[in-house]
Amino acid sequence: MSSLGDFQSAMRASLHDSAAACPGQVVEQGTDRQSRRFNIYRNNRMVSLIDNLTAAYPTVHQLVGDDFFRAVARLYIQKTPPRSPVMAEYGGDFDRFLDAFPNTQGVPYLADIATLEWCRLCSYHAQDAAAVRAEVLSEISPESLESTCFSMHPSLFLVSSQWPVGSIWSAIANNADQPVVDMNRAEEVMVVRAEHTVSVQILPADGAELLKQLRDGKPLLAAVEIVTRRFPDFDPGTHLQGLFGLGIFNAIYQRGVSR
Amino acid sequence: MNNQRSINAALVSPVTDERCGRRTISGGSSCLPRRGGVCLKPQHYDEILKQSPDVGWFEVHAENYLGAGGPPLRYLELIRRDYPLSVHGVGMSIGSADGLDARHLQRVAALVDRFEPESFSEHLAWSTHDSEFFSDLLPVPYNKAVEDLVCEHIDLVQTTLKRQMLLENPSNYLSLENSTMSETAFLNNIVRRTGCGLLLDVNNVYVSAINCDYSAEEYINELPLDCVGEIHLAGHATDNSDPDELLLIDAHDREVADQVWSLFEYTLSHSGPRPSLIEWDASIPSLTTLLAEMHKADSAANIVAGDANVIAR
Repeated sequence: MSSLGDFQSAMRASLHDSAAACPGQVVEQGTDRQSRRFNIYRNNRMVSLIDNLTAAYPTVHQLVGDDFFRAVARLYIQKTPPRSPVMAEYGGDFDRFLDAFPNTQGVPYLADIATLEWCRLCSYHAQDAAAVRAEVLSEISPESLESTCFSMHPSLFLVSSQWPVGSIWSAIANNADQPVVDMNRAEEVMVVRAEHTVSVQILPADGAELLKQLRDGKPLLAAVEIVTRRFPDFDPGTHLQGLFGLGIFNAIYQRGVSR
Repeated sequence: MNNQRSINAALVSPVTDERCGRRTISGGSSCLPRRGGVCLKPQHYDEILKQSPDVGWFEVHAENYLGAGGPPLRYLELIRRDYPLSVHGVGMSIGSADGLDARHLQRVAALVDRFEPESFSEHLAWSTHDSEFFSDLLPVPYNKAVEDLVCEHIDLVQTTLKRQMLLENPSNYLSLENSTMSETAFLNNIVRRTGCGLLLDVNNVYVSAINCDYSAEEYINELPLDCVGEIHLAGHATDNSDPDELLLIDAHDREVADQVWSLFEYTLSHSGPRPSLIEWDASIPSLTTLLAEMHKADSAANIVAGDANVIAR
């Protein structure tokens, strides 16, 4: 089968290099006529992959405009072509590519917006799972609260940014006319799919800290203690209610005992 | 919808192994209703659930439903309850010299197990090489070695999915030097050796016939039409970069062209009615527009069937 393998390797090389001739095994290979035809494959591939990134990163696309987005997407595709035919899984490190890209200084938060958009996509496709209701907490005896832990809903993602990425994303996604965003504010943004809709929530610093402690497996009382040390006014009841309301907990278990 | 389903059931006629090849496929054959269907697009999910439109069947791309969970799978589950379903793969890379991607095949098998579609189909093409996915359907040369390889891959797909698959003819832009037989001879051999059915894309036939300068009708005549389990209809674009040479592109972004409708009628006049899909994958129109195209397919099928009756009398 080496000849088919050779042909596919040659075609791959020609697909990557827009200046290359079409592969030798093509009839009338050297002619303009065949180059024009071969370009259809090149173009199909590139347009399809760029369109896929545009659909995955609509806010990045809107922030930089179509021309810039397509140019940068092309470079990304050249550097990181897909490995899987499942297009929903392609483009997960576009944020890192944007971060390292020299010409996005005008939009320093672009990479973090990409991170947020990728988390939204992952949340959308995440495993379905039940969310635990807040009432379950009242069924736990006070003495076992010390060892009570939470497992997170599979659709939960947390994005920490030195920029107000949640506010910027929300202004663009909601088509806000003249958004007022305090650009000096860092934001902790939570992404979760409650029922069938992915929601994006900007968390207050203490609420985000509680969520991180619980996500990392700290039992409830220990988590509250850690947060209260950093934020003396922390009100755990309100925050827990809020987190339960958003359906972010998938299960409650006693440390060492799974429920 | 219940009445609808029973009417559909009466029209269903599976592509049988007996008619199609010597090989016997364990498990099901393609058995979509012999009428028009449309591609299922996320833009139309809610409208379909709300209005339960009279659609013969829906087709989805397998690769869009391989996530762990979330709305796409939930919608598919709800819609599948009311309609026959075709799962159409676009990334199996049946013509890949490297062999099939075992993980991808397993994921598709899990999807097929879960939704039990009336049909599963894939392309005569390759889209992965050396672990890179090209997001396009690339051509293979037609010779004995490639025929053996494709048969091996189709056997593996049919064994893994425990059902017959349909193989779709490609749209061609180039001819390859290593081809020693015609596309139709190649397809005939594959069907005979593997017992797979054909997904006959008449737009691809038309596009290829123009681009590679052969007769679309003769191409149709050379196929084992008994083995066609499904027909695809789609719109194509024209590449205008050279005014001296007509070059068509399989674009799936507009209405089916008149010449393709004619070729569809020609095909049906030889094959009889077939499950016929309106494909539309870019610049997605309203559901109403899609259904209008589907109705055109049904009318064409009815006219052809009527003509056949007149001839029979």
